[in-house]
Amino acid sequence: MSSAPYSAPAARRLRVYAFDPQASTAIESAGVNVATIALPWGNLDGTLKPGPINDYLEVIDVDPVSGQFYEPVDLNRIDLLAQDGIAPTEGDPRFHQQMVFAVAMKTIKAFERALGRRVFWHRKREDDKLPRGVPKLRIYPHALREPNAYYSRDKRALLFGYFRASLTASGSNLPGGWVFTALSHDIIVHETTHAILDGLHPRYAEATSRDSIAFHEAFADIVALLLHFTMPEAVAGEIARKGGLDDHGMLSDLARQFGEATGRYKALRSAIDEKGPDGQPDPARFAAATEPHERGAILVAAIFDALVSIYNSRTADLLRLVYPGKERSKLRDLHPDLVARLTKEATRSADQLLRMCIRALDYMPPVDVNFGEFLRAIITADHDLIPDDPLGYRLAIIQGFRRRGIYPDHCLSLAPDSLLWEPAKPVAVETNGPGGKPKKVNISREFEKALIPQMKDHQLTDPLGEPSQDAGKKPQGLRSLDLFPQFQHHAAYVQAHNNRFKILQWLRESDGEIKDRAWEQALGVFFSTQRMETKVPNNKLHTISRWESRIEEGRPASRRQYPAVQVDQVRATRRSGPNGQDLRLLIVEVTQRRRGFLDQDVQAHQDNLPEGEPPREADFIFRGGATLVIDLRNGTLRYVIRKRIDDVDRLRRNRDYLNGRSSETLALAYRAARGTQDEIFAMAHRRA
Amino acid sequence: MSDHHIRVRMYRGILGDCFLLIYSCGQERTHILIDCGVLQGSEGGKERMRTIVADLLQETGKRLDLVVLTHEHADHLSGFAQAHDLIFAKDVTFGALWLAWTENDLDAQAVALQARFNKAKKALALTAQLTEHGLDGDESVRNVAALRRFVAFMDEPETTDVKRPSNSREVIAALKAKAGTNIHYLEPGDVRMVAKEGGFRAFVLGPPRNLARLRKDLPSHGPASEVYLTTMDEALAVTSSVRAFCPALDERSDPNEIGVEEDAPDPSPFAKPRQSPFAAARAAANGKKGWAVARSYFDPARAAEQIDRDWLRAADALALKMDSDTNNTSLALAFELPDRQVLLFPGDAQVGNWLSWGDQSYPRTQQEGEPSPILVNDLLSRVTLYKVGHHASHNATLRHRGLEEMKDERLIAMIPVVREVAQKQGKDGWDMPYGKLEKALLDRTKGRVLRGDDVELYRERKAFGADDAPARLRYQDQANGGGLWVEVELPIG
Repeated sequence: MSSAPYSAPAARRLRVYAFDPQASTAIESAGVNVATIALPWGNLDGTLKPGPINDYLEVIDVDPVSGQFYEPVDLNRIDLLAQDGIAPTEGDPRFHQQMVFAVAMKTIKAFERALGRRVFWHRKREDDKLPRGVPKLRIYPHALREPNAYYSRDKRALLFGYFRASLTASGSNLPGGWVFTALSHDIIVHETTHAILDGLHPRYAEATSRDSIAFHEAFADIVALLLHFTMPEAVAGEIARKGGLDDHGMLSDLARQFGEATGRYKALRSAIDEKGPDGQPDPARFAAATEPHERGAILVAAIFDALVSIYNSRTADLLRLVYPGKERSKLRDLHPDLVARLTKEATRSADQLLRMCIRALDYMPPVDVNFGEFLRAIITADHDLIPDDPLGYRLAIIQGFRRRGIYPDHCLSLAPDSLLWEPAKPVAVETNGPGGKPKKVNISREFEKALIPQMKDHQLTDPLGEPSQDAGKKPQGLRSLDLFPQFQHHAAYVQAHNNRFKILQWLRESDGEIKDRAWEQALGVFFSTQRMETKVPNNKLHTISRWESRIEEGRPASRRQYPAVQVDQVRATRRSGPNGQDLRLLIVEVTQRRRGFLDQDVQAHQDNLPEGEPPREADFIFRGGATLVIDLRNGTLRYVIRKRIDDVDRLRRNRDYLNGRSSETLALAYRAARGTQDEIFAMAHRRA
Repeated sequence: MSDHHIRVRMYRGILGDCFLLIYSCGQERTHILIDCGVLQGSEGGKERMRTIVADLLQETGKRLDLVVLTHEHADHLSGFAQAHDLIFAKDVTFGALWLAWTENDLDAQAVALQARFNKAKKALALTAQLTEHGLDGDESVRNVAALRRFVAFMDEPETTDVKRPSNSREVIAALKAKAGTNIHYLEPGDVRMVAKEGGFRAFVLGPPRNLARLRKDLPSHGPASEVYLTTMDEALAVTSSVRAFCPALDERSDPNEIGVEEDAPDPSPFAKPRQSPFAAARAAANGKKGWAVARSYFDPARAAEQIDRDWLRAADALALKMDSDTNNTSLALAFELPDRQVLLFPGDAQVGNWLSWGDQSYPRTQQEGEPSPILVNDLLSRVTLYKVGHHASHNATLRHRGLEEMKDERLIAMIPVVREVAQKQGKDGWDMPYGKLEKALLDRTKGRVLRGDDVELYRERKAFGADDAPARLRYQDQANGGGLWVEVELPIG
């Protein structure tokens, strides 16, 4: 006898620690330490198998130090489905697996919602060749026995450590008891964010300036902090417990908890605490801070400041209604209904701010990022989606940055409209050598021409009429881009992959000298063919990496090569704003490598290498390139966010930074080989 | 020979420091020995050290007026153990013994520091033993083992000789016993008289008291207890890992190590029913059975993605940190000759130690009736002889507030290094001397750089043969320019 189908559940619910196990032992936080994470039911993210495994993640619970391979949790077991997964416990490794999985998935979903597309992990070279399917991120909840956790790009994995709390000074932990980083909500979010950011911006993991390394750490902390505030369980508990609404105290208190499990979040905590006697942070501190963690902490504090401002402005009316004329900081013992409303405002503020920060990632240069550019990216990305700013979110962020002295370069003022990226402009190309009459090339037209016909394909046709001339013709170049929205994880991956090669193909083929040179200027890289190399005087940087051209075989070796570009990302995104705004964008990142040398004279020599002399191996890789932001609704190229490959100042700053940094660690003396296999994120955390 | 001069003798052929200073003023001679050691595990190191000690005792007539030990690394003190019967003989007399404040057992900060070091040493000693348990090919284990050559004594223990110190702590204890009551623990900012004749003084530049300086890699804020906590935890974590991985190590713990406690191996944190042996999962996966996660993990095509050895990187990082921290406890001295020339002996001081020299004046406070205290840039500007720190590795000589301040035309540099030995260490070899630093030194000294390996005799003899050379060069074997040592004689006055 067959029964009528039941309706599918709305979500798969999994219990996790809202903070970490330690919070369950403190009276004030025990009641609010369990949160439930709801993940989409069904197979959109792949079939869920024991591990857990789905299309994104593969949790492998191997513990090499203890010689263990713990049994994987099967979240489809009826016992677990009936009770929102295993109840939080330190004693069962299967709960650890459930928690890292649930929190990592929640982080991924937060990114996908804000970005309007699927998240993919860092691409390795071999991924392009092997048909292994969509790469997954591996998560090892018990990989190490040390107070550390890190993202490994080489192994495409998150490694979490566990350790014994100190016997002498263990804080509120059991002396000698076990502490698991895989059970800390914030650490899981932090490490997952490293992995997502590395997939999005692979060049950000390279040390090009004191900001570049700091940005990775700071962004991971920002996401962890803001995601924490989206958990009503944690926030309501804090608001109710504190009684009052000294919100700064409440928020910074959460942040203090954030630092308990390991020493590594200390920076965040101290950044929030360090205020002058006037209650304001010291704007000079940012300029003076050289250590990446210290600078990163200032960025986190700026975002945190914005959160407080937004929350305050959203709740001002509520508090005026309930407690007219009373000072915020003096309020105590709030009504439970009010607590619920305030909680809603707090989680909504955090959620909005988190989306703004994540959306900004698509508006950033592909290499060598600095904090000022992050500010401009937040403002521009938000402006494009939501043209007006009635609640002053953008002003709140600008204020947070301004108070800490984080300023963008080359901006007229800190007014929101001055902070927007400059719209893409037509490029003037000199035609007959220097002094010749420049010709203007409207580069934006290229995408319009290529993408608008695609829209024309959808015009009404007479089904009985003659087939169109174009029918059956395979589109070429930019026209061949596949922009059909894909909802399956695998299909979206294949589409992004193919589009990348199509853009690369377009860049490699000449569109005629004038246009090629216009694009060179726009993208800040060189991709000219040998034909042009003889004509353009500044195109002689021999340090720029080359392609071997198959077309021009038979020419002398040096002539057969021309500059190589890489297409890091081609991403079609679809975003919606709070009032139904809809924005469809294509993001293209083009970069180029150049051999960098720690000695200025060597650099100059290698840049102008005499014919016949073999090139020297690089001390470091210097990159340039640009991010193109294309509005798919009308095919316009909105922004070109560029870092020139031939930027002399940037190269010098990069060199100075690397020279200065090498003096701080002994590793260079004992490991003479330059390309050491060190895990960059592990080292940043171990501070070796 | 002028009757007022100083000879600085560098013993050669060792990757380690051993310097003898002979100050002559009229009939009076003062003998100063600064460090005496060789990197452990270098071939023929022990015999070389014994020859060196015999030579220096002969030169000084067994009278060492001042013995200085900069820090507790083997490459600075192993000679006191390897030739203990010679140097601690009854007829050898020690004047004063100078040590850094970090060696004072009655100093709370020093005791805390030593406790921290001991934990880390223990963890690293255990890690190094993994070489005998199938992990000798692992990069991290090899790096740890190589760095332990600064820490542990590796000669085969002489069973008959109970008096022979077998580790650096015992060497320091033996030195203290020999010096009796004449031990001085020096603080940054101290000014000491070395020899009364003519007024030969020494300024104590480091090690700093400031913890942030002492550990350059830690942020400069936060209370001291946290600083200790973090590093202790790291050491404990490494110990716990190694014990869990290889419980067999405890019974055969290194007799040369201090305080290896007999505590139990550290198994999985989970109770028995939750455990599931690694080997069983691997066997099942190899037989295409078992969990999907295990089959994925043990997939031979993805062997590079396994994480079986990643936990060892923590030991590697700890070893580097320990080395750097110990170097930073170096007693850094500036000897001022009566004619105001300065001889700089920074031990193996690293960035933090160098940076701290400007934190105080010399002496620290203005004394009544005395001239104004001296500042470090004044001292640096008068340096005529620089003993290059840490075998001229890249970050043991500060550029902006160090070498570039040494403006005296007469500058000479001495690098106690044997490149050939350094290049054999670790996985990739150690970069000593660091090419760029050596070049900078050659530029600044007009070629007057003396290296511990006598590979550039022609260059050094030419540089010191120039008309404006500030000092004469002497070799043990003067005719061939070779031998056990090289010496510069600086005229005073």
